[in-house]
Amino acid sequence: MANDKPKGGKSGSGKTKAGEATASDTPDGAEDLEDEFAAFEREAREAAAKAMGTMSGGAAASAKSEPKAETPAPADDTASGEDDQEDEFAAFEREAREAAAKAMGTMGGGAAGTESDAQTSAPAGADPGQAAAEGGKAAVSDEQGEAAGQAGAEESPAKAAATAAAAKTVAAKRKEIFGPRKGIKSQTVLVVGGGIAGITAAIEIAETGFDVVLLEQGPALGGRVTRLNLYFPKMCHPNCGLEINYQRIRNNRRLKVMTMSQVLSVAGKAGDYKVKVRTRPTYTTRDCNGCGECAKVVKKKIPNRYNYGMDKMAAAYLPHEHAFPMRYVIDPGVKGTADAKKLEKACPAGAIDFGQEDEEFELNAGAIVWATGWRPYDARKLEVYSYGHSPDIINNVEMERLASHDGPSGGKILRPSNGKEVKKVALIQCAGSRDINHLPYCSMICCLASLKHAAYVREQHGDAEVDIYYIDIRAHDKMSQFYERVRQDEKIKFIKSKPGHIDIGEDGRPVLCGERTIDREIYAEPYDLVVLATGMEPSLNGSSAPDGISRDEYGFVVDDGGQFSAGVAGGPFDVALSTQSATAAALKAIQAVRGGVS
Amino acid sequence: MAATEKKQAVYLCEGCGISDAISLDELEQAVTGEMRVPLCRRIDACCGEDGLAQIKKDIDKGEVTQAIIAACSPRVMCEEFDALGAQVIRANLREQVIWSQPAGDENTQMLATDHVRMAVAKAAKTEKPAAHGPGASSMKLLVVGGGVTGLSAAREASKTGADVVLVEKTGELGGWAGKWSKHIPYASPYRGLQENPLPDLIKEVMGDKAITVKTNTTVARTEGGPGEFAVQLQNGKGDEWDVFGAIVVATGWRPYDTAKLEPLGYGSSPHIVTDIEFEDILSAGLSKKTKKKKSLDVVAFVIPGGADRMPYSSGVSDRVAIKQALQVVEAVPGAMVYVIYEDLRAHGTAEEFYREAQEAGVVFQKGEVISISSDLTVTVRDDLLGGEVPMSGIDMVVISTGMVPNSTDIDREPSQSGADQLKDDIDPRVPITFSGKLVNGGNGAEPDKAADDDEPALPGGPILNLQYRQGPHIPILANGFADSHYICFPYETRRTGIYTCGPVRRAMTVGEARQDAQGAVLKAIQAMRAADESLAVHPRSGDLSYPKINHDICTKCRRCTVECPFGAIDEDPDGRPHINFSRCRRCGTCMGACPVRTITFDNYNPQMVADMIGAVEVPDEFAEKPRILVLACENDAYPALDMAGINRRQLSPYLRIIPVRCLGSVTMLWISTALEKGFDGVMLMGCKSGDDYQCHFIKGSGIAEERMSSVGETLKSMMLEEDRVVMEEVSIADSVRAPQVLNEFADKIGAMPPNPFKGF
Repeated sequence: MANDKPKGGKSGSGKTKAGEATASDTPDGAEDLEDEFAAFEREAREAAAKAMGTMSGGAAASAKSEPKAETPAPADDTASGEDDQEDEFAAFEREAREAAAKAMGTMGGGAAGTESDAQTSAPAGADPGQAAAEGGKAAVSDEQGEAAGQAGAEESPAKAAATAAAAKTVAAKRKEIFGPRKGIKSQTVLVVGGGIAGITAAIEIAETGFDVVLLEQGPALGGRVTRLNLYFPKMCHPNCGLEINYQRIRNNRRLKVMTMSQVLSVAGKAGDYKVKVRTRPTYTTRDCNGCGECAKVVKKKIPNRYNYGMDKMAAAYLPHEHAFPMRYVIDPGVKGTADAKKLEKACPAGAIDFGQEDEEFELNAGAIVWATGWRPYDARKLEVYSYGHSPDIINNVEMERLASHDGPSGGKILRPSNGKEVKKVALIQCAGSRDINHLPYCSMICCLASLKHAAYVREQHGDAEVDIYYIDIRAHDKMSQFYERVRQDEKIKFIKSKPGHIDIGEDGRPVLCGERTIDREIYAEPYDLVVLATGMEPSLNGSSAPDGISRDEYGFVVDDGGQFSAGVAGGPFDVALSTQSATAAALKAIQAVRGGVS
Repeated sequence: MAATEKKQAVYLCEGCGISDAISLDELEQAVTGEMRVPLCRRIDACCGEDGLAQIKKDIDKGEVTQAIIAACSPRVMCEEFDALGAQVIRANLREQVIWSQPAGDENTQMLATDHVRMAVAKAAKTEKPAAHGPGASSMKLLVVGGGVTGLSAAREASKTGADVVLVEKTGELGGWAGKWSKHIPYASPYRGLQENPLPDLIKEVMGDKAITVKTNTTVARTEGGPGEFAVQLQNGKGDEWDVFGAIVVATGWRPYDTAKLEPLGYGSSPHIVTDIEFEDILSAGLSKKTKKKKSLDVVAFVIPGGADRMPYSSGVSDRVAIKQALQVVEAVPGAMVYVIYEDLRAHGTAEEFYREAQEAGVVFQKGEVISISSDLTVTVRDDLLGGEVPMSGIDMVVISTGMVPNSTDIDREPSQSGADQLKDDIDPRVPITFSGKLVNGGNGAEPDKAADDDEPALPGGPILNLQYRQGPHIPILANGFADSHYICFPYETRRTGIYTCGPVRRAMTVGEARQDAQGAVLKAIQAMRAADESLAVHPRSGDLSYPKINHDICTKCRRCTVECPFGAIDEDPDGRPHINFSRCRRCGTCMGACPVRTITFDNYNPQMVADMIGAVEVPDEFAEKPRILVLACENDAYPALDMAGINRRQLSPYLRIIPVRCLGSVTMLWISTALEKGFDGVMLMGCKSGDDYQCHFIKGSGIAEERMSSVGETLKSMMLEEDRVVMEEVSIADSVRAPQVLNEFADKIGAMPPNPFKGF
């Protein structure tokens, strides 16, 4: 790479030309961009081509050498230093990997067996990176010095000394942070639940350098949020962030995703949990490539879970268009029917296997993150609100599906009863929340979700009216600006009242009855669509949740030193707070598998 | 590593109906014929066990270093193909050809062939990226701020094995929360006044050998990047340098300016206090003496409606009012305590605390407080009685204030000696600026006005005094809160390796701040490790590729240093760009900015995409088959088009779609190449720009839009219609809309005369 310099000198003519081409160089790039665009196109391209030519000769070398081109000596130190430290770390890495491999070995019982190799292998990028990272410590101070020079500061000997001192300790420090301790049988973290919180916890742990198994009980990741139309207050789509997370998962070999899987029991303690898992069949094998031929031939229809059962779908299905993993699922009801034969015949990949059974196996983990999320509070328990008695009385998660482009109505908010336009919509806050007979706590998201729903309706229907019945609008921190924005709309009215009951009127429309809190006015108001802002109930409530999880009186998971909560499993949070809590859970889990507090 | 000779092979997948929809015989002939790829295999299903084994055999034998797999979208089967060991280049024949085109059609065949041509051209110009080096020089964490957030961060980092230096600019630890007598409950059972946790926390930190606490210390300057932040710390006695792997900023908050509460009545009586002042009274203890001097038999807590005074509500002050009300009820038997509010934001489990206060006899009254007079008469608007109702006989009025984030150091002069030396022409409040031109207003600022000279300067000096070309400040959002702007990624700041937490990021309680500190520490440790291994962090986590500059060609135009969304590029004294690799997120915005195309990545560079465009076969002007180039953001637009394919939505067969890392990486070369080649139209598809930007690289689409504004003139000068080159913002959910937008554009282009450059 020392040759690079003269070579660069040679291409000086090209450089000058290109330089002149853009000499106009105004800070406002637009105009000269265009000049150059029109006039110097070819020239610049030639120059670039020439540059690329020289780069490709020794791309890695030239770039690596670039910062220390003037101090070739440290490069040699680098090489020798590299070996020593590399060995040390390699040994530690191997140790960690073996420990992990041992942990994962017990998974071999069933479906996991074949894939556990991938899980325990080193991260793809780590090793080459490692080699480079280990070396060149001696060169660092030179580089730092250069950086200081560039910033126009005086070269500080104190700084150089500090840098050199830091360089000496880095390898040991890395080992201390990432190395396992005594008493830790498994450094693998188990994350239960593949919604936004579980995904976040899992990928953050994996990217910090620890092995993770992510369990999801359904066939695809994404949980509740992938079924939302938009997030408040940015009004952006949840799949946008999920896609990035899926990219991160695809590129990380430390993270293993297991769908259709549920925890049956947990035994052991921090550093050494034995977790029994059941995986249900999808009746498709990993040869399924998502082509969709099966869905074309199957006759049986089942309620579409993705749309909360608001419509039906074929019993062989891709969970939704953004499904990760992208694999079809066959409903168990198809097994043994005439449909089953047709499916087997139709699948070009031979990926259908009705021989699949439930599989149970045990896996070891050093820590567990519960990211089991929530379900909407069952609105049928709020009898006075007549949920289930009229298709025009829906809950807030169903409203999200109505507004979604891939929902049952293709994103059009229409009256579910007759498909007609909605002219008058009521949004009822605290349907279940803040009520000691139902959910004693405030679910936090419902106010904002309703503000968002009001915005959905108003965007689609220019003269529709929206009435929001509320106790308090709890637009916390940055959200209050969103509240203010919605309040500007004259067609959106805020009525402080908790409606007493909902009748079904003679014309079939729901009629809200109650008293306004402020002026004590009694009302009986008919609406085309009523949306109940049902709250969030922790999923582990009332389910066959395994024993041994600490939970509070509401059913939210309480951290115990080896088991932690992420997202709504631990409290009523919005998405931003869920991802925040999931990132915190990632740290706590890492602390647990490191071997505890120093 | 580039020295190894490239050996390419094309694998044509017969699965998923590909072999039914197009002629693989013809395609195979084209591959071995005109594309000159020596090895072309047809594989039953590339992703199947046998298929993978077949490909792997070629690779293991050393016959193939680049496997060009013409099958499904690059968004699926990644793990399977990555495990092959060779560099894999994908041609998306499934989602974007056979699933979105009629089977057996001539146009479908042409499209499929072009996809393979593009992949082959790409292979020639891409290398498997090798990491830059060296890696980190430090795994030590700097925590700035000695309040509850900073103390928690230090302790959490230490528990994870990291060494920590905690700096606090005052003489003592504990911050605001340390001063309070009682705290809000934040764990089950969510009721009951809590003991102040700070004394214990401070004790833990002071006794922790891994934590070095430096009080009366500020950060004089910060250089470098993750893994190698060189930081000059300053106290009264002098300076010292230290090196850190990452930085957690936990500078907390300050109370809202009480002057703004004066119209309400604050200041007219010593018995009208803010909630913060009331904490002092509570801390002093509600002794008999205190009670005598300021009787507390009737206390009114006033939570003013936020909007006219503060543009946001902290939500914290509502819970503080509940706490203080309870404290009065407990300390003064028989006291009447009112809380007057418009919306009581006791969200989440704080509802229980609210319930407790109600049970204890605190009277919560909804109403808008209009004024508080010096004789402590509180006038409330009452909608029931239709008028203003005065409440009198009150002994003390406590007004809730708000939390203002300390995203700058207000005790420091705005202009620092270090900062002066920087070309400090970038306003950290404005997220979307470049080339000195404003594209979108910063959050909270009026669009197109935010950069006006009359905009007041940020109060105070920078906290870290970053020696970055883009200025010394940590970028901030609306109302002074520091990043992140992302709902899904709360810790992703625009300054890699620097993570904010606590009330500097969002108004929050002590309990929330302690959790937030854990999150920020996790990200900090992750960033240190990534820097150590020369890997990119979020969103291109693990990416080894990095931008390379050929300084011999660089014209020192500074566009890359100005436009980098993460401030990763500085300028050396000669004005040459200097890339701080550990700050870089690999979006390629610098590459798109560079007018002489001398910024390249091993596996993504201007020539690579230009060659892909050049590889497309453009039929002559009489064929009536226009060609349209689509440069689609790989994070949102491209997946949306894949999903259109999954739903079998038809796309115009004339589109040639190339994924890009971000629209910010799009260079004008690609557009000119396309037009010279005879493409009839070009569309850029990216994410939403503006205040509520959805671009994962902050401002890529905004930058692209600005760059595109100059294209019209150029087209005119080429005698081409201006609307041949357009840009569209789509979201990942636009699997219906995105194909519509493209098809309409294709129709429009089809109606225009063909590009006259065809055939030249």
